[in-house]
Amino acid sequence: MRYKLYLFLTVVMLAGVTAAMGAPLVLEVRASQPEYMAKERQIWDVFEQQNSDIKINLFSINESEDAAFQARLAAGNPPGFSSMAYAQSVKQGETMVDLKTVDFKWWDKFAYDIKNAWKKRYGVDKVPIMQWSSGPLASFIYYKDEMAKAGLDPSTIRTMADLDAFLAKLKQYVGTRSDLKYVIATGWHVWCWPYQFLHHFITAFDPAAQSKAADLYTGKAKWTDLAKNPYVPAFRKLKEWYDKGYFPKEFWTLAWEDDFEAAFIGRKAILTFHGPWLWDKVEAADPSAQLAGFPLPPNSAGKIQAFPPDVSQGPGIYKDVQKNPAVFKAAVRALNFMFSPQSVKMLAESLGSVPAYDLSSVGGLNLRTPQYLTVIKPVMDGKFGKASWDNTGFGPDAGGRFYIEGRPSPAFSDPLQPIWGDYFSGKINMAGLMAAYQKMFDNAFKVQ
Amino acid sequence: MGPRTSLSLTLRRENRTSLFFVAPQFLLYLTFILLPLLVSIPLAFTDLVGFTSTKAQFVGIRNFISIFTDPGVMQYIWPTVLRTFIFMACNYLTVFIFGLSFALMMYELSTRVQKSYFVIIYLPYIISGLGAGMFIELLFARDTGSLNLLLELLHIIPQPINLKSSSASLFALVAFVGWRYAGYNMAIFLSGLLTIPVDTIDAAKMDGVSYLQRLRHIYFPQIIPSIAIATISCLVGSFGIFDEPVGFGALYGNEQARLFSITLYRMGLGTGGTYGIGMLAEGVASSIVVFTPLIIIALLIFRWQKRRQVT
Repeated sequence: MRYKLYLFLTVVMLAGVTAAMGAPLVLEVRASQPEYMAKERQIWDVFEQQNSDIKINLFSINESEDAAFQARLAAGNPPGFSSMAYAQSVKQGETMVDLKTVDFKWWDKFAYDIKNAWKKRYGVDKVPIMQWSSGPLASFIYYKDEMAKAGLDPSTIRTMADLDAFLAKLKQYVGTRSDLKYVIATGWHVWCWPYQFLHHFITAFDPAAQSKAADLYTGKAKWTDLAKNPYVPAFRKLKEWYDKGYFPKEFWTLAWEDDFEAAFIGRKAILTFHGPWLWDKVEAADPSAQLAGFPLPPNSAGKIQAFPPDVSQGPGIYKDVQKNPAVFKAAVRALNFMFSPQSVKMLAESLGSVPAYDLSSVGGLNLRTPQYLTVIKPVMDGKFGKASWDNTGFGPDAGGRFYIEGRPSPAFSDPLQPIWGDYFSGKINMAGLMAAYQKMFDNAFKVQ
Repeated sequence: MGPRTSLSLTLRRENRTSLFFVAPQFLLYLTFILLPLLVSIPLAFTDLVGFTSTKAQFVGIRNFISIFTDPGVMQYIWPTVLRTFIFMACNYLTVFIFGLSFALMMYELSTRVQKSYFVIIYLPYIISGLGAGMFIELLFARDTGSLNLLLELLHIIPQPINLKSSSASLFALVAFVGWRYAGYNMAIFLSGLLTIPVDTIDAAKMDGVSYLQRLRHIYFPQIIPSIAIATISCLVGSFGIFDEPVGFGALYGNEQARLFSITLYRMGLGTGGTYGIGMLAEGVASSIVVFTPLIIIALLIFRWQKRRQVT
């Protein structure tokens, strides 16, 4: 009896070992954003079909889970491949593999100088992050049916004066409806407002805004020199809109998702200003919703700020992955798959991001997302007259190499929230606002 | 074997059994509280900005000095310490309003009813503070919160309650924490009440002593240990509370819910422009500076309570 038991156990163990030997290698992959995880899963399914020896375990990290993920990275246990890794400082870049040292096939496909892009920002010759797409463009977004009920047509907006007149009429209309609360729904986000949105706004007032901002972030100019500060006109306009009641009261205290996005999805406002993610969220919550959008008006040089490829965040491989050669090899295969023209085409068409990538070998691109069709393409097709997209990098990026790791940056950080609150509530004026920015800059950047 | 030897053997056996039951909790305490504390203390003497940073240099007592002299550091610490003290004072009231009141109620009720009410009152304590806090935030979301919408519809409030305003946040957080820990504090006071000899209460009743007189002269003097434990628990808990403020949006936009624990978290975690401040070493130093007096106060309370027991 005992002999039979031992024989049975041995057979079971051998079966287990054999199964383990033949089992595919599991590669953990972090999705770029939680809202894109389902779409990215479909693309990784294609990878698994082409690479039967690798199984992709896809997960996503929400902003509220970031701290736990940072703890995992600090413990030296990163995922094998990250579609969203951060190299927003020299020190952060040190935690990433230099992708110039791996066997990567697609260098010639990038529509920009990928090999020197990060070096230009941070002064170190490496490629920690690869970015196939342009950055997330922010624009006005509205419900088509509601705007039609209001009798307003945003497609006629060509100048800032047109935009002001449009918003005034929209405010009048919002006042007639008890179910609508805001002209422009918004809230506070530590990155969206101070970095993404603000740097779209400054170009609307000054064609040289980004280079002037770069001077501020490299210490060549002072924030307190209001006459030369490119942020001043943008802040003045935003304050004017706030004082006119276009933004929610104390919008800087409104939680981004729970208050602001929920309010827009709940149709408490017809109009908002946001990046590409909101389109997907509204569609997910209400598939019947029809959204459209329009960009900020062009500046005096006919330029509208786009968001160029952001090489400080995106796909990369953490250095600690190299401790396991088999996983590292699989990660490099995943990297090559993700950046193959077929994958980039699939990603672009499903996520709606405009690629900064040569896709001629796979028949070009067929983007059908609402943001592309109603905001990006009309500008390219000349519907805004001579207006065109400005792909100049954002000003703060020029100061990347001077940034002191971990310090709250005036480019984007949470301590900006009370400062913005004080400015919009009138507790401080423009001089006070820029003095606060100068102080943050002096604390967070060491210009040599 | 004589009676003394038998007694000491029994005592030793009981001690071993007690240690066996206490050991798992103590191991968890050692692993997740004491050891990280000992490991983190040296960080206060470095220039570490975050725990994902790869390099740190020894800076002596610079961080301890900057807590009192550097405006860039002080702006984060002292307002939240003050806010936490205010929270602690208000929270201490709820310890008695909820905890002691429920304990007295349970003590006077019959045994049959007692058990069901005990479970109901204790239930909030087992709910995740983070989940419950987020739930409250969703209920009171300015434009889509169900409770706000209902109260507006019934014209009970003219405009939505803003949980992020200073008064609402503090009041709501105190009420929420008081409600959540009602069962916990009730258990502390009830355990004290149950040690009061029933004879003294019966004798007092027979002498015609009123309920308030019984509370003042019999109950309260004999539950001093419970009051001490509840006080220390409130003192330390108010400075350590985390889940509930996070649920109220302390990390994202609600500055009024940012208590000292939240500030420590922000100082040590979050880089790359999130809610982090990037001052891990200063954070550890400030936690030593703030918690050392609290520990001394706690020890003094214990000492006072032991003296009262002896007298």
